[in-house]
Amino acid sequence: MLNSRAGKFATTIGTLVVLLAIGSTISSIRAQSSGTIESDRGTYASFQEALDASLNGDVITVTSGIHTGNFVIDKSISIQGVGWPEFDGGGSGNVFTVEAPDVSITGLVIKNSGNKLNTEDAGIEANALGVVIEGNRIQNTLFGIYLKQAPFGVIRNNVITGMDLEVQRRGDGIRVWYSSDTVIEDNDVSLVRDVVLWYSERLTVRNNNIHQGRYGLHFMYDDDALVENNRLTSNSVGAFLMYSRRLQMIGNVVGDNRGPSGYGIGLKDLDDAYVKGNLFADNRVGAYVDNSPRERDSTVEFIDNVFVLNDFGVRLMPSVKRNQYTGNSFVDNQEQVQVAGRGTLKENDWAVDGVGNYWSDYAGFDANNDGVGDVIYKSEKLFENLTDKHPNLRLLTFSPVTQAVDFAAKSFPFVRPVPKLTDPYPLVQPGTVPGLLLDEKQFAWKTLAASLAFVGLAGLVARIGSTKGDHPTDQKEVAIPVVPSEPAGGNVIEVKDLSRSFGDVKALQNLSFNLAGGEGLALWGNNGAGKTTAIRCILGQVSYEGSVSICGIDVATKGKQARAKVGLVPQEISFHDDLTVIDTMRLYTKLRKANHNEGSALLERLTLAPHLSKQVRQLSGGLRQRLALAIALLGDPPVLLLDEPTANLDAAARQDFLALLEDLKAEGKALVFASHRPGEVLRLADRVLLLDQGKLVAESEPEELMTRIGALPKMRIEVGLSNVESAMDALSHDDFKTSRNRTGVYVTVAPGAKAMPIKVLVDAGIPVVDFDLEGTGKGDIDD
Amino acid sequence: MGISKRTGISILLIIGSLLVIACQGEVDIEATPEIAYGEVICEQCGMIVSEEAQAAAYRLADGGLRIFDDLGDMVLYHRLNGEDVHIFWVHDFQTGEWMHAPDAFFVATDDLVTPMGHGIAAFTYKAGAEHLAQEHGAPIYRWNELLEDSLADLPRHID
Repeated sequence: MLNSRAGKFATTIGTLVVLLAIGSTISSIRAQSSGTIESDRGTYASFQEALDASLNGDVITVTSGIHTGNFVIDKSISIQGVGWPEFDGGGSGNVFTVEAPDVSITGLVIKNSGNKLNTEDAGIEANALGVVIEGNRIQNTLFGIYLKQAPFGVIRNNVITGMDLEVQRRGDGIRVWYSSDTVIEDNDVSLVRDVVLWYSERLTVRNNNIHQGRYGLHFMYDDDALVENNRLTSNSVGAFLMYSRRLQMIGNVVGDNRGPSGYGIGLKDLDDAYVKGNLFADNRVGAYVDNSPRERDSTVEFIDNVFVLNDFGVRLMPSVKRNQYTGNSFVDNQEQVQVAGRGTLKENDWAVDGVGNYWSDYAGFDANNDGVGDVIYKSEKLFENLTDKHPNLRLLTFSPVTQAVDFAAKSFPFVRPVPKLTDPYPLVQPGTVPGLLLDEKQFAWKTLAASLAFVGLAGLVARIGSTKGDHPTDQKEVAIPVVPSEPAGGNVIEVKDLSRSFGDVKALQNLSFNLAGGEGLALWGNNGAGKTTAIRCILGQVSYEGSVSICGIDVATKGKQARAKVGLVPQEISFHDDLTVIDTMRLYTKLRKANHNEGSALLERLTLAPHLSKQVRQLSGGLRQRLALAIALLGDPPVLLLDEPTANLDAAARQDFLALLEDLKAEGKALVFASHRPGEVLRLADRVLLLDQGKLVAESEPEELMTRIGALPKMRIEVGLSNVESAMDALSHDDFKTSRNRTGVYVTVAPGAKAMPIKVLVDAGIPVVDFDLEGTGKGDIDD
Repeated sequence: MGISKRTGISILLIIGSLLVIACQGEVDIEATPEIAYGEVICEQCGMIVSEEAQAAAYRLADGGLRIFDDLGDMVLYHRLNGEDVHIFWVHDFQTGEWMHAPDAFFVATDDLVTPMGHGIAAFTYKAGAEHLAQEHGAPIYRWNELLEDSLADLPRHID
């Protein structure tokens, strides 16, 4: 028994020894695998031999293989990898140390440097000028690329992945140190500590993707840098930019940076910084500004940026002066602008040359349609002011206390806060940001952020459940009410004595109507008649007199719940053109907390499935409108609100779109739409409200109104005297409006159905001798 | 006619927040600072305090604590704000232990990479400071010298 066990033990040991020997052999073969190494001097068995034999200007081409060691490049040579040869530092020191100028390293896999911070072990450390490091994969190195007093370098198109260490124990993916005129572009850097750029002038940092680190970019003492079209995402801080002059930061995407400070960008002691066209999305703080500018005769300019869904759009230290903000969009940030302490920011400009910023919580109006709100924007929420000064109170955010405090401030002017900022020229439409491309992994925030898709809607948005806007009519929402699931009395919309004035202008006066599911109601009138105002009131976007309820929910007091019952299709759709169709739908699915499958099903239903991977910019007008409708239908709202829904479509697209709306109406959706197209009204409306200068001047059936205004053509059909009576009977039987004309009949014909009366008569056996159209109507029948 | 549930919740939240604000306990103003590395923000620069060896702090006479990612930032912040400080704390460059800044010897050199580039190291023993100073050709300072505004030859970031 004992012998048997001993035998098994010996066998096991023997097997292990054999396996270890095989493993060791494989490992040895792998370590010694040199691939092919050729240079201008000949062919070599090892890279080190080739290196030793090289002269300035040589090219060493390394084809595959594994090369272990720490290599010092002290001649001006080029090293070109073919088939991704691996250079392995073996876990100590630098893999490459470059000590000669004009060295080029391309196409290599460089990995396993040492991991000591005090010796700053790196994949490539360069101490000479003009070094080009391009198209390499740098993996598991403490520092990736370190230019130390190495100006005029190029770091391009490398993929750098750091060591799997706690962030404070990692090195920097790229460190540029006293290395002016360096170009850093098209790199992907992840899982490192920072990208550090210090003491270097005229840097170009372009098209890099830097993610999952601590500081995406950390600038200090870098005058005249250009930071352009980078993506700084999912870091603790997107970019901290300090002690520099004339920085230009343009077209970057900065999102999901939510570390302890969570700044998208932090500006500290910067002079003449120019920040334009960037997207700051879903950060704790979109932009933090401290002591910038610091010099008396300099400024900091924020132009055409978008701050969306950050906890704080912009945070400024109270001493900050001479910041200029123009053309920016502040969209649904929990707090659009924060003063970190006591102060009013009044020494900063919130509009330049008559151009202010878009504020999603703006409650004003634009009566003359010049794109600029007619009342100034004031940020004067008492609760915000209190939390700015006493951050401990922030724990009460989203509690009923917030609304109660702000309500008190509005009700009792003596506690109304001093506005922390005023924008005299607020924009009524948000801007967009160029340069967004999405990938699936980072979709979550980008879809939120890139959401300028429909930011046009953000102002109008009906049903974004997470909207944090502060509509005037929302301010009484201090608790979650019990929402009736079915409309009372069968009406899904009940409007009574609805009035709205802008100053002395009465935009809407005593409008009343009800609408049931499956009905269509058209708002008809010239520009300025009050159609859009009525829609905004129904959405609870502006305060009003009278009452509006949707599915029994009072819009004035429970605006968000009411808006959840409405799908909106606006006239102007501000999609983000760089997003694909599927990404756009994902965005809104998430924003509206809808089911993912529902979004897919809607795209399928609206025949958008073949276009999922297209960017929105590639869609025709008709497809864009379908996408807008698909989004409006998320959550299956019982009411669709459409503002000139086919105004921008060609005839064919218009017909398709109207057919879709007809189907939806037949399924029970209530449609309310503003229109000036008779064809649209005739196909979709059961009733028309004719508005003029804010007053309801008539309510009628569509045909009646169209006839009254001369919008419908009449067809004169010659059937012979003996057939006139039977022709009128047949046509009336099919609901045509007819009148007699001696030997023929007049028939009012609807757009798209001009042949129908002829068919009716032929089917009834009544010979049609001749026919003619009299007048095409004043309106645009458009069919 | 009792108060509504909503009003009750509001009152409770207000009371709760006041308690949170008020009940922040007594602090031992002599104790070494406790820093949650990687979580707290430097008072001066707003950056994350990650590197223990470079972190610095001071305790105010009223018990408040100011934390910095670089002792140069502590110097700068105090110069700018002039607060009533009870104790300045720095880390010994060699041992990593906390020590009172007035007891330390300081070497300032651009060759030393610190989080905000101030390049200042603190030493318990003068011999340690001298060794680094000789290595880099840098001067040695005492704490009161660092705090002086007129000091000319510190690394430029403190200016």
